[in-house]
Amino acid sequence: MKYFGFIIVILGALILLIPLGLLIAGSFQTNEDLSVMPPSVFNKTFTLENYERMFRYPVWRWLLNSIFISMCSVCLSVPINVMAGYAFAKKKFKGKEILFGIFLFTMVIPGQITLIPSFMLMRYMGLYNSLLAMWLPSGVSAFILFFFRQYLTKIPDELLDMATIDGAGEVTKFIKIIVPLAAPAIVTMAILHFVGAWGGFLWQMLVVSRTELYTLPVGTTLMIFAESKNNLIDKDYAITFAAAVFSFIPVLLIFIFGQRFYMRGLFQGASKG
Amino acid sequence: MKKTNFTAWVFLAPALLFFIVFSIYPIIRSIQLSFYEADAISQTFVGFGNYIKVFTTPRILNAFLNTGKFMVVVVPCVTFIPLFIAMIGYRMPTALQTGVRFAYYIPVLTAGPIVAMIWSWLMNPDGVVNFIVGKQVFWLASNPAAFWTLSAMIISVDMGMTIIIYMAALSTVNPELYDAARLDGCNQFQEDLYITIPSILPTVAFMFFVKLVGVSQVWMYPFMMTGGGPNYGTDTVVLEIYLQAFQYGKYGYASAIGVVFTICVAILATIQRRYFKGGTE
Repeated sequence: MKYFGFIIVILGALILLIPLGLLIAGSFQTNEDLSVMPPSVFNKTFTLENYERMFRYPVWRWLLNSIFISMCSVCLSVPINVMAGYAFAKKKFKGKEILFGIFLFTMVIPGQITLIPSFMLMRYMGLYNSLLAMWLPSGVSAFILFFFRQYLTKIPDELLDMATIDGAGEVTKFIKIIVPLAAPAIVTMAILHFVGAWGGFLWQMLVVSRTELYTLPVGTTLMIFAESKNNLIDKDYAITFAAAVFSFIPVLLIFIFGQRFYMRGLFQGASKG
Repeated sequence: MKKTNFTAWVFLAPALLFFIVFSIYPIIRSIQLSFYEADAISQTFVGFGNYIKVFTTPRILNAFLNTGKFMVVVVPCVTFIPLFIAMIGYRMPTALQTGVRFAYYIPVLTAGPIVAMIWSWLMNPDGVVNFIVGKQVFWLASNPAAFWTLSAMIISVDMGMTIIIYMAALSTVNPELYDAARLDGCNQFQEDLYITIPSILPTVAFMFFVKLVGVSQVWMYPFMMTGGGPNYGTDTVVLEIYLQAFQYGKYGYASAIGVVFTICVAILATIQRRYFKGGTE
């Protein structure tokens, strides 16, 4: 029974890995070869043409932009939301439930309708065509806030009470108790948020118009459109695959690096004491 | 008591500031815009004109219907399949577990438009999938195949993050509970049923909510892969909002669609939070 489950899960994983293999192989093939079935890794001409075409665009600059805005977004968003999550999880104050409800409610609202006013706001603040405009609005994420609240609720109150008796102030309690205990959640959310910010598309595309300010997804997508000559029937798949491989590597590194810190269970450290 | 109250607000202050400027303000502006016939340059007050148009335009009503269909099919899948995968994956040896997590997370790591392109390549009439099934199926160019193809795609793309969150939740389950269960002679199935699932149920309920909201806003894949077609078969509300606002420049109308839509989703979300909360949080 146990191994039956294992097999299904691994099978699903393999199905998702096959397109990745085809994609990497495809990035070294021409569009003509790509339209010939069966898809193959070997018997087709190996070419670096797709990568050459890609590097004619400022992809390295786009990469730096993406790294920059994703890091800023994480550094802004995670502390803000841990603090707020802590307040919601462990503090008593008037209007807590209502305020939390309002936070949750904003999650329901599709980004597309707040896009126009947010865009006008950015213009008004003079942030149009700046990298700041791409990450500043991501400061509060109801999703991350909720996750932290959920996680921090599980920290035993006695721990905090004991610290209070020992004379710890609010700031000390937060930094010495909450943050270390929430570390697995913080790392998990930091990575998820990084990847989320990395993948951000519509907003990032709207707030800048200068090519050198594009992020990697925006830049590569517009590049694919340009290379496909805006022909959506006969798309330029070859350069898409090269772009996919190129933009995939950095997030992959973050993800692998993060694995080491991921999800060390809350109780692995805390329940022994 | 007084002091706790004050510190709570200090901890909340930065979040509130961002929240008011970048969430509340745009929402209020958007509601205001929905009563105007507005484009990039001018604004004329039209009262409920835009709203009447929303409820009388077949194309928009059809988009609402399609969005509902996507939600019914996709939301349960992207909430519960990852639960199954996470619970099984969590018992795997570490290396295997990492591999599984990675495989399911791949689509999340890839930018949306690129995922859409890859699927277009896989599913095109002379593509890989048709080669495997040995038939020429128009996966994206016929109804209802386009709907099911997009659903399958969204499910496969959307599971990775949920799996990781479930695994994080699983790591917070107190191991002493399992020790106790084992002493009482529980088998693995009973452990899952009486300890694991109840322990992470609040997370599952929350992910259900997140996915309910997330799937309701699907637009990128129909936009990139079918353009909402064929014959509006995969047209969704948020895609319409996008088209009305950014293709046709009808900001007011788009805002009105958005307001109606938000109210619908909020009602659904409230019902969900009431009946599927996963116990005390």
